[in-house]
Amino acid sequence: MKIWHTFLGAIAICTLAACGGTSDRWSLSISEASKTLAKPGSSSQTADGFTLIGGDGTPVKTDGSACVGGQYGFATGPCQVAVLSNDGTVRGNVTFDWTYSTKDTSGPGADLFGVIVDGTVIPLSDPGGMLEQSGRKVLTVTSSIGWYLNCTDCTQGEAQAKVAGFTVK
Amino acid sequence: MKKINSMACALIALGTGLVISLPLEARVTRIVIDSKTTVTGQTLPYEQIRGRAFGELDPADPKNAVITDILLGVGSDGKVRYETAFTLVKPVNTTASSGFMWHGVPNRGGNATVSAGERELGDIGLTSGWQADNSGATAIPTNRATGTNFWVDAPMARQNGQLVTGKVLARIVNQTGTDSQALVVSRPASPVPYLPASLDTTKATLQIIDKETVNGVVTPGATIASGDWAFAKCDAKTPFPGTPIDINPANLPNNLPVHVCLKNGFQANKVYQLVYTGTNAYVLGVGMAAFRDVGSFFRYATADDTGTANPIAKIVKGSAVRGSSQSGNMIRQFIYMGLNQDEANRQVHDGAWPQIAGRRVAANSRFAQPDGVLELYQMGSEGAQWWVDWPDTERNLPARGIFSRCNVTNTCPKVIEHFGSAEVFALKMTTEWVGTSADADIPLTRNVRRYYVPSSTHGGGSGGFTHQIPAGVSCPGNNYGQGTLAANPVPSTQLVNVLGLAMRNWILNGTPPPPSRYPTLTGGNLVNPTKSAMGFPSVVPGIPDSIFAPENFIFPVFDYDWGATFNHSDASGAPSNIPPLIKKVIQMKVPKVDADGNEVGGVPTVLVMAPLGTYLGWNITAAGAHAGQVCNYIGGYVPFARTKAERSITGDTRLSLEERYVNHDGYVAAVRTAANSAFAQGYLLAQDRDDLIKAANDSTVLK
Repeated sequence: MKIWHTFLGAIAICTLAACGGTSDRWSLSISEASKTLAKPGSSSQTADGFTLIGGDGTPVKTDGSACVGGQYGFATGPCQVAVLSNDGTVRGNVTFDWTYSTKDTSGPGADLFGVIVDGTVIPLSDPGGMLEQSGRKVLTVTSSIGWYLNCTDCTQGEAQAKVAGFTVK
Repeated sequence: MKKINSMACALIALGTGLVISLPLEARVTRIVIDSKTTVTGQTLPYEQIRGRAFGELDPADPKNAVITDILLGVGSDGKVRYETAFTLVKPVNTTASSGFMWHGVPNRGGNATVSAGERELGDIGLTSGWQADNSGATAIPTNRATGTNFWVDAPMARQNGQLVTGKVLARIVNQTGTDSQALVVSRPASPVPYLPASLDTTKATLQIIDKETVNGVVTPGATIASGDWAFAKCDAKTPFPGTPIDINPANLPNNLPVHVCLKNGFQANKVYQLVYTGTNAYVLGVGMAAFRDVGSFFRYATADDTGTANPIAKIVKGSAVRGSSQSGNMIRQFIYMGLNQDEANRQVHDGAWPQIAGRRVAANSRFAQPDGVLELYQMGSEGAQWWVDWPDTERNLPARGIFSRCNVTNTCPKVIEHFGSAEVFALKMTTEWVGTSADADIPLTRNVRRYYVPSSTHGGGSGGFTHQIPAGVSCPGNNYGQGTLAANPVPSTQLVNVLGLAMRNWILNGTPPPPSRYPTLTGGNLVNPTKSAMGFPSVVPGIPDSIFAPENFIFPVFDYDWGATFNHSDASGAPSNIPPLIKKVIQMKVPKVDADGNEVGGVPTVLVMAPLGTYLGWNITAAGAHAGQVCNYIGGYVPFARTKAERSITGDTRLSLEERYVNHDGYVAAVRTAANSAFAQGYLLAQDRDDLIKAANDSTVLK
């Protein structure tokens, strides 16, 4: 019995590198719409998390959107970068730290960062908040987790988000 | 000359093969300059021109079709005419102007022109009438050439030559005694503008309301028998039934306010609710169109039809409309109606700055009362309060936004809006942010900036760094009485200073204003209006838990049923259910607070960042019909104890001044840190930063 508990303890806490940290377990993506931007953005894996850089471009029409189909402040805009878990290894109580910043002159209402848990979108960045934001999030994951950075109309400066301190219990 | 021009037009039309039909235009046809005076207080020589504009509207023009009852206001030639007052404050030498024009929206007929600081920049200030209810401060003066207020002479709605009639609601609050009482909308200076069609009280209903809560639960009392009251003036010398009032519309506005006399006098702490058949329904939307046309004339025209020159012809490079409170709500309604497009399809104003205004003024429905302040049964929250098209799920209305019309014509202005906490609690503002379903942050657009001054009263407080402020404020609104808490001093002046420059730089130079800052659901700092959800501290002297009860705490938007002849989305038409049925109470949200009870989120504000107490967007009504409820739209203040020993006496859970700042120097250091932070983020001007630090240093805090 004691041995069983020890085994559970060993697997109960892991970091990004230990559980799901290999690249085949994570899908780093840029949406097709985002690829049409002058600066499409990127997502990349770091030693203990991920970095997402949002897209940015110049609209064809003044006050328009650089992202075709994108609209300022609407999270459903088609231009985004994302990281998604693509297997079932990341389950349980997930904790991570996040930081966000935007260079957009309109502020964080223009570039939206959030987490997707089991298919449900949970915004993290505050659209009415400061240009630089951060937080720690604790979530229960049943099947999948991922993060997105949506540049909505994708103009006037890009945003960046980092996920770190990732643990699963 | 006119004939030659017409011929030239005709020849061009023939030559190009085009058929040109000259539209019947909605426009200013004539201006009259009544006076010129010198304006002092700035370096450049300035003058004020006072005058009147005469205009006409074509009711067939789709841009005017939005105006309720416009067809009932036509003259014999099929046009609708108006006259309105304006002032123009401008450099004497117009070439010295910056080319930026502020079009000020009068609040209840008052002045709204440029400040000395703006005159120093060479800006032009145009102010003109819009509120066509000819009552109180918007009354048309006997001598129109010498009047000083802002008014609009608009037609009354007529059918078959007769004035239309309809139900009018008026409420008499907290009055006592046997003297007759005036029917007012929101203050003594704003009489209900509508005369009764008859003195026959059997055709009206006067009911006592024993109690009403902020969330719309009404406890009705007795209905006063028709023989026990009269439309009359009475007092001790002329007791009931008194002297009948004059109800001849030809004598308006001099026969206002309407008076009601009771046989047994008015009982204290009651609301008397009167529904009567009114007459003289002004076509109020004509006033809104007059404001559009005057703005367009001074921006674009060189002269009127008679050859009188526009004094600022070809000078204006950019313009913005600006109004505070009621006037800010007018701007939101103005844009909603599509009136930022003029008769020639030009955009009237590049920018709009509705201040401390989260609703749309009631100025385009029959018998509307533009002076209303959203007290029970007052209109103003109908339809879309937000900018983008967004579903109104709780009221089952179509997805609309304030920009719906101007988006189609590409005439939406750049918008700066700023608010304070009092608008959240009594002026039903958060629906603008989260809609009627209150479950998502409604996005803004690139052209809208939103700023929230946390923990502030309506229009901002007096500022300064004063720890002890005497308790007691007057609750605004229709005789609400006094508040129990001290006045909230948190100022908005410094943010207004930033935003004024930001607006003109945005328009003239394309320089983006500071990013929006306001509480959101997503950020977790916009929550349900309960003590626990807000995180309000457990013990703050003078604040009972009862204030947080739903029946006392926040004025919610109501889903009113105004009847089938009212357009609930456009807030137009003729309401027939008076008072309206409350179909639903809409969920409101409020900002979260910190351990001191001060709001989190919003623009960095020095006095909130270096607090001397708890700054509230609400106060508590001391007595009367609304005792124990939020004191309408006025803020409050509860100072911290000076020492730990002092706060232990009251059980105050908030740290004392000494515990947080130690001494005066510590407090000044806190103000300096806050001011530098606000400045670094772009929400405080350098001069204001320095002035605030100096004021803190000069204060008596912890001395």
